[in-house]
Amino acid sequence: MKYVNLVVIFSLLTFFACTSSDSDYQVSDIPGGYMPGDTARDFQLKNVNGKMVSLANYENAKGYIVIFTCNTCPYAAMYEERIIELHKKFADKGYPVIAINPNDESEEPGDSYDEMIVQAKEKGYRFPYVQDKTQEITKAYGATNTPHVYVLNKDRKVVYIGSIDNNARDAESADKFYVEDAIKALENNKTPEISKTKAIGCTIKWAS
Amino acid sequence: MIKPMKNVNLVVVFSILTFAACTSSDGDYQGSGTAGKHVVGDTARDFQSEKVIKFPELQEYITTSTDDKVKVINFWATWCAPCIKELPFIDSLRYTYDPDKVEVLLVSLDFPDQLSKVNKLLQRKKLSSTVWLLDESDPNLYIDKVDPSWTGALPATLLVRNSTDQRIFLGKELTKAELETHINKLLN
Repeated sequence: MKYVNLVVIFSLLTFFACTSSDSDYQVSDIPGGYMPGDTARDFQLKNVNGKMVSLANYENAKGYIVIFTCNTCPYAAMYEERIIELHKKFADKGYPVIAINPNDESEEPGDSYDEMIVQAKEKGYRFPYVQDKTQEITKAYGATNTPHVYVLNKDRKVVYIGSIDNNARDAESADKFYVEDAIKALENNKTPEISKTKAIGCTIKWAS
Repeated sequence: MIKPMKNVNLVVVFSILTFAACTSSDGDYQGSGTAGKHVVGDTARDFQSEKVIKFPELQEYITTSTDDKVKVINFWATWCAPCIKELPFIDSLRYTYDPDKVEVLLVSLDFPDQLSKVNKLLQRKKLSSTVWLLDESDPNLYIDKVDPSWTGALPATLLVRNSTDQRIFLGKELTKAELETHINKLLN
């Protein structure tokens, strides 16, 4: 990160703290990224079965659960079962999971396309597990961690960004189910009460 | 992949820690072979320097200014490879800078029942900085309080100099040179 004037940062902090607690004012290495309310772009990314996947392929979708996740992050592993469950629970209702692996495979060989195929097969993924080889989609969405969830409505409007629930370690102990709540809100034509959360996770491995 | 140790009673862990600390400052209380053994000349870890804390204690540490020091607070975990890469040079800041000017705190986000894993790593890497293990299951209760720009990704490093009201948050993997440049900014 380049030299940044602290006075400016603090002014910004103060300004945004007063205007919106959700504001993405950060001086980040990844410019852009979506906020709730933005319209997310579609993509065309290669699935583990060799076919290209786009959101537009889903003719009857009422929304999408787009999850940036990977093979190698322990937090992604902790949430893997819950991701599988989300798809099981909501795909038939019109909200499919689309998992995107954002990691550069030379930075993280465990996330290579071939390893993704192995992972999807071993864990019996019923949803696409696509590779964002150029990391263009990851950057456009502004994903920073794995796992990082974007719930979109049928018009690709972002209604929720963040974690699946509030307990990575133990699904049983979670008592806030952010993604499920977002989908319930969509079902009722409402905006989710909580539209953005944060989670501990692994940094996305960017191509150098 | 994390394979968490199940149901480790923290009281037991602490008793063992205390016991080891009292009986031998070099004690390899893990009984885990030679990997963690110190040889003459090494700095033995003070086992009492690892403590499991809740966020308010960390917040107080971050915000309280008792001196003029730059506090380097690094968030890491044993499962985070880029974090482990950084630890040695963060730990060695103790030698690069006057201890009266720069202070290091390593905040582990491992789960509390993985304290022994944290300890093993610290021993293996011969790290002597103070380590606190943050025991909070809901990250939304603390991430923004550490810094609103923190996405939650590890590693992350917060530099604070309370006497001059300066802070720099670095939510990414750093090089030694980058870290020192930022510290120098706060020192000057």
